[in-house]
Amino acid sequence: MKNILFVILILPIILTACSDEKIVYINDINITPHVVLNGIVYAGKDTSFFYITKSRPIYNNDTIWNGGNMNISDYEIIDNADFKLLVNQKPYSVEYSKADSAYIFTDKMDERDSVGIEITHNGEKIKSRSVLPAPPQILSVDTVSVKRIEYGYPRDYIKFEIKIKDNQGIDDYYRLIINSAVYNLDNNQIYHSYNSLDYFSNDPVLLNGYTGSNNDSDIIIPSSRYNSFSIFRDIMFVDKEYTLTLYVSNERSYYTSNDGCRLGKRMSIKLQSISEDLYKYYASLQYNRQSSSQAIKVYTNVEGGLGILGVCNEIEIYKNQYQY
Amino acid sequence: MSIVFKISLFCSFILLFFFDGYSQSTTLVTIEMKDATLKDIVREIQQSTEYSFVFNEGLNMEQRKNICLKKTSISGTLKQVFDKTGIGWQIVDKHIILNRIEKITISGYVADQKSLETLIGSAIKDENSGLGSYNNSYGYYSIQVVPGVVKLQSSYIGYKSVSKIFFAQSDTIINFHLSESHNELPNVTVYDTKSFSPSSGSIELAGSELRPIPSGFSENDILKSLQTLPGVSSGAEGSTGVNVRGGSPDQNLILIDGIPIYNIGHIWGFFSVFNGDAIKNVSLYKGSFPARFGGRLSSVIDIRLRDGDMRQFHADFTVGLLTARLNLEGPIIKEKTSYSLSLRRSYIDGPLWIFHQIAAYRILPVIYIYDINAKINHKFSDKSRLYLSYYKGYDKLYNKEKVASYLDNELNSYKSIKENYSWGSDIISLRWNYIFNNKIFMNATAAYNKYQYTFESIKNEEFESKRYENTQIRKSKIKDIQFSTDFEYQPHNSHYMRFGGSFIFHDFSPEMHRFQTKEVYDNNQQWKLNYYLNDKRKGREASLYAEDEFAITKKLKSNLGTHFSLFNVQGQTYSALQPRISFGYELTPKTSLKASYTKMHQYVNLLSSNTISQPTDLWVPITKKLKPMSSDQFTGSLFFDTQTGYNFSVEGFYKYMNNVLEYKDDIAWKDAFTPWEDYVEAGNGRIRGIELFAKKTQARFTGWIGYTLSWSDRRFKTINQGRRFWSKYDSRHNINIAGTFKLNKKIDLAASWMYATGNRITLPVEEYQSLDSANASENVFYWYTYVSVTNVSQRNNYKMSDSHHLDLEMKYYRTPRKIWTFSIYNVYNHFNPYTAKAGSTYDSQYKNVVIESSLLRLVPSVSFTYKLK
Repeated sequence: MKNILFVILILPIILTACSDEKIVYINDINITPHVVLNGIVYAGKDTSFFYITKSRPIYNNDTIWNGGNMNISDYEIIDNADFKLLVNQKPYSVEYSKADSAYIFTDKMDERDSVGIEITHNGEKIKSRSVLPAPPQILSVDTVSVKRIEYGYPRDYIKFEIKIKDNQGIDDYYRLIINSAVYNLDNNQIYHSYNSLDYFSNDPVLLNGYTGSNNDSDIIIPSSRYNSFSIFRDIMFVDKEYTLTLYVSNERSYYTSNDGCRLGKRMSIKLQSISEDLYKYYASLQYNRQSSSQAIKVYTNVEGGLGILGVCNEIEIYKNQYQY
Repeated sequence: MSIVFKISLFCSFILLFFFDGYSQSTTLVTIEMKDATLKDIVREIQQSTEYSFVFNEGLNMEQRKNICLKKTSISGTLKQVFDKTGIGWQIVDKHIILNRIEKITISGYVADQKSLETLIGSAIKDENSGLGSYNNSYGYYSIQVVPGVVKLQSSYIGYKSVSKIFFAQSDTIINFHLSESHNELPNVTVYDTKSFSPSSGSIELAGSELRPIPSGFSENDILKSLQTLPGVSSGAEGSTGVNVRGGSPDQNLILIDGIPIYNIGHIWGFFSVFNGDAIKNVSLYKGSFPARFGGRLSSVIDIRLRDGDMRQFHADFTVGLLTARLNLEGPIIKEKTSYSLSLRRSYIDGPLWIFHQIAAYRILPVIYIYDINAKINHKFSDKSRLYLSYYKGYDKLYNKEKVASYLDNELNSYKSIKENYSWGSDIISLRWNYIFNNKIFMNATAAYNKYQYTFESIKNEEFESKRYENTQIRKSKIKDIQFSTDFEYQPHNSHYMRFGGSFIFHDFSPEMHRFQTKEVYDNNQQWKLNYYLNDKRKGREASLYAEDEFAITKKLKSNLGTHFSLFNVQGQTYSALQPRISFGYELTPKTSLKASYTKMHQYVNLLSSNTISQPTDLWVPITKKLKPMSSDQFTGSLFFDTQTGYNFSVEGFYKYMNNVLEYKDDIAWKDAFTPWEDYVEAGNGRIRGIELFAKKTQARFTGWIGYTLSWSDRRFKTINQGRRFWSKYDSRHNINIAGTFKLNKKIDLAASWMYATGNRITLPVEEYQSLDSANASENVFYWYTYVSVTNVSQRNNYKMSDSHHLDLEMKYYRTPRKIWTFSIYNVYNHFNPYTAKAGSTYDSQYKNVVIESSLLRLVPSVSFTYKLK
């Protein structure tokens, strides 16, 4: 009897005291759409793409949440804008490519070039400006194979120690791009690849000083709540050298080929110098997506509109390709 | 004084005692004397009437007067004779007692008869003059009376009134000991301190038991009681947060025995850190702030803890669903020294620990809380008392994990993880009360106060001959050392002056990080990484204040004061003169009209981005860049007291705040390297509203109804593009109904119902193409490619669903020592949201929706109390 009484009393408490959710349907909320500019200019590349679209209301019967489907991003594309590109104050012409849904500039730009864009569409004017940064200075890249225990099993990693020299007198912003892919070779041609991006770091520079919990440190950086875009800045090593430490998975894939194709793996690490605006865009976008308690406004350097005009200067600091 | 005179005085006192209340006969006096001494006039009256005079030889009876009266009553005659002579008179039966008009001061303590526990806020009334006063936070009162036969009455709600009649010619100490009344429900009673004083918006919760409101998990939670008063809300439903008149939680000065406390919630605010069993009295100030308080913009919540029974030992323990409580109190030296000790600890960690021993993997971390309230009170004499208090509140959440793998019965790899989250406050205070003379009371305080949040993580890994160690510590701390002295001076009944000052050494460490990684390889080579971040700031705060509550006319009373403060931080000193003005006008004996103006300054802020207060929120000081917050508040109110146990009030308020902080719109720099002040912005805020309050304080049923209509908004230079927006604490309508009913000797019932307009939160209503999706051709692969970016075009643009819930409680006294308490929170299981976010749902097609979350639904609970002695 006592046990029954205990269950009668305790069970409802456990069941009902738990947190709960309620869905609130919102009727149409109309907005005045903004003109959106997105584009990154890479120093030394001979083509730059600029995308102009219109923003749309979230709470609208015509707007369907992507529901996990990455292809549904059917923003209204603006293909008839009056597009002015100024490089170092000098106007250049751009072409609109329907296939790419982008305005294309087919010429190279280099470090310290100033990029200005002015767009007019249906009387609305937006503009943006940025300056291409100098490339990052890499002094050395050291690697060593290490094993880590994950869920009770040892796993293979390559530990990278990347020595960076900070550019004197300026604030530097960086983005780390790591591509690691397992591929199938057919007559030495890659016909299928499977990307993976298992890398982690306990380096405070890459974690923005937030060391997180130990479990976080086991999570790959691109999906961590501290730095999903792998961006960092020189605040910890202003005008100095710094050795960035990270671990990239070097696990042999358990994928087996059906057609007897040879398996291989390639890995590349690129480091980008990015503009302050682009850094702020990525940083605020990360908080925007990850903040559960407060909606964060994403940074924009587009006056009168939304989006980002980013600039970067990229170098490849490591490349490896081998077959199993 | 001659023996004859003493005897005559004694006789007159006896006569007074027995014959007081008899009406005087209508003796008429006819007298005509020129340039006669008072002594001669008195003799003449004595001869022509049946009255005899009694007076002290020290009285100046040689004063001369011209008197010409025809058929005048005895009192009219005496009025004329002693006018402007400095001599007062009293008629006691056929005796006329003459005294100096200079008043004497009667002072002392009002305490509980059984325990000698001081009763804060007791009323003292001089029955001869009809004038009254209240005792202070330490139970001390002081009142001026005409020397002679003094009739004082002390009363306290829930206690029997006590009258004392005594003869006094000079300043005298008279202590009152009141005993509990069993005719009325001896439960909490809410009443306005000094209904007819100039103070407005101040409410006191007191009584033999501070437990009017049913709260979740049968916890005796004083903050939940405060949340049922008009102008006070919880911010997030179900939490113990306190938002007063649209202000943020850090704008409340919450004092435990006069010392500010920084963290008020256990388990993310499910229940407050204040153990109701240890509390004696709570005062809330939200309208006119007396000058003695400073440092916060919205309210003062002054919590006084029990001193301990001076006469008898008492003990009781309570077992509830989440916690167990033990209270001990008693004398150390009878009627001289007492102690009070209240302990509370949760025990949910016990079952969790057992569960973890059985389960293969840890699903839940272990959590526990405890708090300790201890106090020793020593009475050196009627003039000198010492209090030593200690408070500790602590929350801990921890997790331990060990994984070992074996190869051929040999340990192949080993991994251990230990994680601890803990937070809590420690407060130690030493207070000395000293009565210099009957008119001057002093309280001197020295206190140490610390709040700290710590996260600690230690990980060890071993694989073959490789070792990996990782230690991380994150802390946030605020530490104060405080010295203060307060004086209370009552030169006349019409003046009640308070003055004093304080000095606080603040040590702020909002963000401290320590990170260490060590790797040892096969060849004994080591790799180490050490990282430290220690953001420390010191603040020095000094303040002086003076206030006087006085009667300008018989009907017009005022409290005028000023609070001057200095705050030094980063070499910058801020000063602020904060006037406090309040007036009260007695329209009729039952109605009063009040108005006030209050200026407040605040030097510490709590940075919080959440809808509920988190232990990880940072307490930060103002800086060189961020100036102190300040507010100007105007109130106007009408009070009506039927004097039969019903009170009604209407109060309107307008508050303008400067330099309030909010997070900026795009927090791109929110990393540990950037000072927190770079991601906040200072702006202004306005709060205006009206509060209606009706309450019943007597008989078997007591309760109140409150309604608040308010608007709260903010404006910043860049946030929300410089446009004004609703504050997240904006809640248009709030209704509270609370009541207690004594069904019979064995059963007490309590119920409360609340309704609040939903709080505000920021939700994006616009989205646009992301750079990643536009730029996908760049062949950068990421797990999370953001297709859309949501744009926040307006802050706090979404009003969450309204909250309301009915709570019930029944207290069953099985025997006087065994008490069962049954309660149900949110009886009809209404969904009350505390936060909301944008989301999607599939209902034949995908739809964008808002997902609201609630903390608590229906919560039944039970507790059992056993009184050992």
